[in-house]
Amino acid sequence: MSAYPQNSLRRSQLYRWHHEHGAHFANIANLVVVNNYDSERGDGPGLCDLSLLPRTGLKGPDAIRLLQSTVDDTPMEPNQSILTSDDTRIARLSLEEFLLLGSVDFETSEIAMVDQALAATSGMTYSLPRADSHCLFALKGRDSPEVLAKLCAIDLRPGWFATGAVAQTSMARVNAIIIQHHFAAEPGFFLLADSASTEYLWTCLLDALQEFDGGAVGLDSFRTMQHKG
Amino acid sequence: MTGINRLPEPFGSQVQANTVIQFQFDGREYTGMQGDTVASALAANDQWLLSRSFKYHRPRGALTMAGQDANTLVQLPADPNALADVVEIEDGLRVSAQNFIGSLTSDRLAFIEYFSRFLPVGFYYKAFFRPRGIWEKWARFFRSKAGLGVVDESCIARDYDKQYKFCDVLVVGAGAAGLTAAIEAGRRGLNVILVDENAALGGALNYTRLDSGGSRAAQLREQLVSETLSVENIEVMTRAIVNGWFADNWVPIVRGKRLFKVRAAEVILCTGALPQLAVFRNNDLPGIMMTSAASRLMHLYGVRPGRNAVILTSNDEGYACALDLLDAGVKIRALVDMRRNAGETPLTQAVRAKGVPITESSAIYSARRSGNHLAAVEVREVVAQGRLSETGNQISCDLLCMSVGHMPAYQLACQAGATLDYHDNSSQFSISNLPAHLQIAGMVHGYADMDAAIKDAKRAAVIAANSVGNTNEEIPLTDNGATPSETVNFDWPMFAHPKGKEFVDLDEDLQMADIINATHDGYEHIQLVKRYSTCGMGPSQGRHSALPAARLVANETGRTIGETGVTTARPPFAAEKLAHCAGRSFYPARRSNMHYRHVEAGATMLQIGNWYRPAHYGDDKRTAVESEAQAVRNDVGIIDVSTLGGIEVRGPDAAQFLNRIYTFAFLKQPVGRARYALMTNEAGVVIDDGVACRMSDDHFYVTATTGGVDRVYQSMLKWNAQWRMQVDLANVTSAYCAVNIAGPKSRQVLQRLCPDTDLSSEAFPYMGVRTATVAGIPARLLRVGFVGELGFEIHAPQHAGEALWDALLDGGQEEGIRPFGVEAQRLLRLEKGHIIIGQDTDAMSSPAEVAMSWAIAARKPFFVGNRSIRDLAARPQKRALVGFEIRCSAAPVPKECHLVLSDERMVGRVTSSAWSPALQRTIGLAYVPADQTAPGTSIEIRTDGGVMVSATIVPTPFYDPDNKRQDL
Repeated sequence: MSAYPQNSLRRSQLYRWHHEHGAHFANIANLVVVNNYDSERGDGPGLCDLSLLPRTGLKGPDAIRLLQSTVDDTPMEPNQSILTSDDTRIARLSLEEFLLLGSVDFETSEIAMVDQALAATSGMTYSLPRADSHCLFALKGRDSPEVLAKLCAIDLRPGWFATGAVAQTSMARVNAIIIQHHFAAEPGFFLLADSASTEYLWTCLLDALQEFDGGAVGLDSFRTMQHKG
Repeated sequence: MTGINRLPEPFGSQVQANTVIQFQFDGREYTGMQGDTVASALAANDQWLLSRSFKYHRPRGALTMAGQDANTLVQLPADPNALADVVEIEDGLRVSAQNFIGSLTSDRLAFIEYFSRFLPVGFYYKAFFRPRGIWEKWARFFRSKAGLGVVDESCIARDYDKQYKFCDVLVVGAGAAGLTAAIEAGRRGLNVILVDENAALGGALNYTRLDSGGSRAAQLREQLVSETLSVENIEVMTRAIVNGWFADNWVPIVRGKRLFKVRAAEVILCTGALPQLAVFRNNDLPGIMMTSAASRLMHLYGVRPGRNAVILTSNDEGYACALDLLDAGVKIRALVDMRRNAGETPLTQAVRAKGVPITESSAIYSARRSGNHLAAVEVREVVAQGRLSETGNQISCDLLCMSVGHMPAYQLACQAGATLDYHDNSSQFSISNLPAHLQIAGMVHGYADMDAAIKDAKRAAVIAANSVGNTNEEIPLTDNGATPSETVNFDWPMFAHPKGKEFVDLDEDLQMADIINATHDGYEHIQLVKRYSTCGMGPSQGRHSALPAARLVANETGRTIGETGVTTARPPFAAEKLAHCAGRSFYPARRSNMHYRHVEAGATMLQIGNWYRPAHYGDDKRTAVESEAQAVRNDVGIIDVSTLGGIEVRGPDAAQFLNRIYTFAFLKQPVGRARYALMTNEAGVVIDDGVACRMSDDHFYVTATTGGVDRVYQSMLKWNAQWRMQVDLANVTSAYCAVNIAGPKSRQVLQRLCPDTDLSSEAFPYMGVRTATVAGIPARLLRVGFVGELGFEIHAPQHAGEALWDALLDGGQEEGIRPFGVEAQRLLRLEKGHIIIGQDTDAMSSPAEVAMSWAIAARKPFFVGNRSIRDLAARPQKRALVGFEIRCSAAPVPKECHLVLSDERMVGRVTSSAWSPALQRTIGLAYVPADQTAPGTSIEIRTDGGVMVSATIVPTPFYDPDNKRQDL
């Protein structure tokens, strides 16, 4: 029996859209995600719904200490992010606030470790339910800065928005976090916004992608890239 | 053949002779070439008449061939007021002329000009205000005559888009100076955007003759364009208009159907200069055009602009144009030079050598027409400023080319804060006081000489590069440090005629006398003259009228032109479509994780703020609401309340923080209990409410209203920053979905789904809080009773919302569970007399007015708003929110904001009202005077259509006054 989101407790708000657009689902780490679509475009920029990707957040005066005791590296400055050896993207949103995104293969272990540490801590470190408060998309492809230029006033061109740079800004009139990330050799971004705005933002991004022959892609596209890379 | 006026190559660099295009103008078929504009293709076919003027319906033709005048406004099927000298022809394009009755050739309204002496500026201000009220009747007539073109309301909406762009240097204008600036900046490693409104790079190099041989411009263009295209980091945008300048080099660029919002570190304006009008009688006839227009027709489109030409000039451009016309086979009947001595330059020498008759120190006194086209001009000697000799020579011609001066294209620079100055001694303009990070170069900077303009562009590029790269490269001098040179402007190219029709502003048909009369009417400031006369307010925005109007005002008011100044040029620089402003707009919409379950169940969805919420399930609102409410009262119902705000308040000072933020007391609130939380602002006005759930000693989970949570969160952040308490705040509204399960059978349904938690009244009392697992989903349970029944709010991780909803509906089948919407919830809470903040409160509502004094801990030393509430309590209360009922079932149900009247005087208003099926009467809440709140008091409510309804004040809650049902 093939995986189907309705059989899972946690569901992306977009699972109906995925289904209607020929998505093939897979069960990864007990989460039902899109592997690919019937008619996935290969060359243009791709947009992937990573709403179920493991992620977490923490903040507070002791947050940096908890993080340093759990992971091998942390970003030094606000609005910067680093990639750990575990492929976890750690973004520093302010002096005392961090956001952790798992790798797109869903195999990160550091997120669980940080969540465990958060549950056990008695210090002034506070967890943030980033897996639920925000939707998460990956936008990848050479034209992705141009795509976002239709929605966002930040200069996201390579060279101006360095690898790992973080922008907390407005995208299509909703608050968003944009993190520069290379998916294998391909430049792109992690995009996070209010989870209640998932469908709205997905639609806006797909509309912006049309001009560049882009569209929705599943997790397979990342695996293909890794092979290419 | 695409017209009798076509010239052979090398004329016509922009058109492709082998691609013939058919189009229509005013119902007639024409042919043109690929690359032709409507105006050039018509000119090739000897159709010079393009439009009728706005006021007098005079015939008008191409003036600039650059989209800088209103003469070429035409109607396209979906676009009124398109510029015929900009719009390129396409196969099958249907173009119509505008603003005539009858035909374009024979406009029946052309007689109006014979009454022009009775229609001076402001005539309708003076003539149509008596008797009182008559203006309204005249206004209908004038408005039917005003406005150009027709909006096609049936046209299909097209997609217009917006996009942000960024660059180190934005170069505006791709003439010689612009190309040079872009090359120099690009070679220094800067990202450059080069913008030009024309199809081809090169600006005036595409059509202007720089030397007597006629080859230099083309060579220079080829060299500069080739270099530009070889620099990788220059992005070229042609057919694009920079339509304004805004703070911090934020620049809108319009190209096609897209508005680019560009942020540039540096801007270099190489916008060139705009040719100016000579003002004489009938200077507006078709056949009279700028020399640059004639050059564009020949060089860009391969069109001969006439057969017999006269040239009026005050600089060498007229001579260059003469050589081009001769090359095109045009006979030059006279070259009229307004200067006393044209001097000996290569261009003047070349023209003389060709035997062209040159008349110096002369000007055009008047033009005469035959039909709708120029037929002759009368040339007279200039004897003084603005005065010509008494007699002159009539010269037959069908073309008059004018080059009497330039005005820098100053608009963008002045929008950025620069100053435009006129120097009366040299008749030249200069632009100064440029803001940081903005340069001007080339002709706009006053450098008419090509070599000087190129040097000036290099200077600007180095300054920009130094600024962006924080380098210190030596800045090259322009023209060896000399100031802008070569006078091209004649000081007074304006000559009055006893019969008038010397047009200063062609858009608005303003004659010299109109401007002069405006000053005589007391409008002496140039800005007042503009508004009184409408000079410069037409489509060309004063490009040609600003300077002559300033000259006239200066002359009449005894000031210099420099002192008089010109009118302000605000954005947009060119006409901007509403579609560009409207294109790609964003309307955020928020949906809960259960959204599609509501849709699938037939809910009517409402957008409340950004959120979509189910209003009711089923098409018939009344039936649906009544049955949903009945289910909650009798059995069990569920409602999606994910939109409720949720804020985590954590830290050692969490209780103390809430104690200051909310009116109630929270220090001693036990863990596992919820408490009503009422929020007031500093003025003591009720602004929000919710419940504060104590999850642990230093952790509260606070709910807030759907519409108020963002404001509550901001307010909390503000106060926390001031108080510096050890508290962390997190808005987790979107992180949690929430479902309220309510009704007498709610406990047994929920208990079935969370077997690990004792939901009995003893173990989980009213206002209790628990963490539990519902159908395997971790959740926070709040036992609250907004709808007045036994009920629980289940707050669960957002991504599990749909699974939670499904589980509750499945689990409650035996009890007849059904979803209810916002409308039923509103009814149920009204029956309980619960207020909704924002609906039953307003910007003045104090806790006492809404009977919420019980929610204030009076002994607390401080909370936000306590001082104001104390002060208000010391004064007599003016109004109060009370419950009312209407027992007459035939009476109309009042609506929100229906007025409460007393002796026909407004004394209050209804805030909520509904027919209660449970109580079988209309109930509601209303503000009434504080002395009329006693139960049994009768109030009069004015409902729709002025129908008065009597209501009786009653105590609340209307339903279950002892609150026994929620305490089950």
